[in-house]
Amino acid sequence: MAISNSATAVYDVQDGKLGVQVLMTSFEFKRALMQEHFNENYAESEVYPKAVFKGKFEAGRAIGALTIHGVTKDVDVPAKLDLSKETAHLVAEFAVTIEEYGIAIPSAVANKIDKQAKILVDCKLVAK
Amino acid sequence: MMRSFVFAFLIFSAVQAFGQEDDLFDLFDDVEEVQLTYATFKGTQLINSATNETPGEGVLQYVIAHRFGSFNDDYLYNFFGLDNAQIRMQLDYGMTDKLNVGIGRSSFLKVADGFIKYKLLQQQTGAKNVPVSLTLNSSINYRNARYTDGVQHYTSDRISYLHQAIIARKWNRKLSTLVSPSIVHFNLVPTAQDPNTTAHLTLGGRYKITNRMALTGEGTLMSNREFSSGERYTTPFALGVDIETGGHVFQLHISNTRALNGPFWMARNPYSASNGGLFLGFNISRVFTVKE
Repeated sequence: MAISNSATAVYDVQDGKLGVQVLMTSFEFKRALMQEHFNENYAESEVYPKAVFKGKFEAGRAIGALTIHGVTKDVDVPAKLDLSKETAHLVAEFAVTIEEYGIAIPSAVANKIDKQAKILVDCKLVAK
Repeated sequence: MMRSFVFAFLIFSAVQAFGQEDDLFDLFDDVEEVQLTYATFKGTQLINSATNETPGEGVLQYVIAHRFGSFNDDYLYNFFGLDNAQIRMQLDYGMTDKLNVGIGRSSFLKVADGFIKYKLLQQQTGAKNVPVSLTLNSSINYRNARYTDGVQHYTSDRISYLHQAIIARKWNRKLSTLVSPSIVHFNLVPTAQDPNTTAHLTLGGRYKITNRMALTGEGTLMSNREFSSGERYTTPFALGVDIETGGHVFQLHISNTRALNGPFWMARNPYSASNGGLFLGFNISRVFTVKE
């Protein structure tokens, strides 16, 4: 499990546009070596520094394009967006297949790394 | 246990707006974040010299290094030098992400050593730009080998020190270099005319050829190579390859040095490549996460 506390989310209340981005190197792993391998061998963070979602929020779903590792895929996943006057709270949980984003897992470590990555998004937004 | 490797649970906290923008996603570019440069080098050692890297908090590292016999020393008879290998074992621990302490024992002159390494500065881009990483490294080395000069020696005669600043830069995902100004101090030198302290400058680099393999090289210049006893020391250099497999880093190399402790390979290297004083060697490191 890795946690990033420095992501950016944007939402437009008028037209429902929603965007989320996170720096790959901001993910903190429990083990230093895992973090290094994640950045160096899998995410290739130097070349692809960010993961980005650009799309819209519509009827309890986030629909749009998700770019990880330089590969863009259409996604349509359940999401929750609680709006109040000054703030918004975005929560989403979904899984992506790592291979689909062009990240190869060598067979030697295939039983140590999930083919699916679970992604949990929890953002608090402030009105501007 | 390792299964959850790329299991990314993201918790995003800091955030932007919801409002009217020409293109909402332009806001992404306004965000300035610090991006730390990671993995400048694969290992805590380049070949002989130390890199700016430390194992990370709660990580125990074991390093075993061999330097085989030289090419000019009955090479085939000695089974490519394997029969007269020098060995050093090292155990070190990451007290914090920045502080690393360790001990080692080398068969060359039966030197025992202790070292402390501290990451003072880490290369970063983004909101704050730091062009290089800076790590400080100090070791104390105690020679256990008996003296054969017939003189009664003090305990302090056996001690030598290495202090260095390791300045490293990762230029891109493939190329990293380091420059390490160092001083070596031997408590005992041949005569009073000889310097106890010498200055050294290590230049080194690595170039990745795949995600898990890299070519490495290093050389060390020195301030004083001739001593009044008639000893003349050479410039140490080494060329190698790094191979990483999970928790291990294998470093295979060829060098003109045989000693495995900083003061000895850096300031007291008698071997010369021009007359076959070349040695095959390897370092293997293994890390264990003892505290998560």
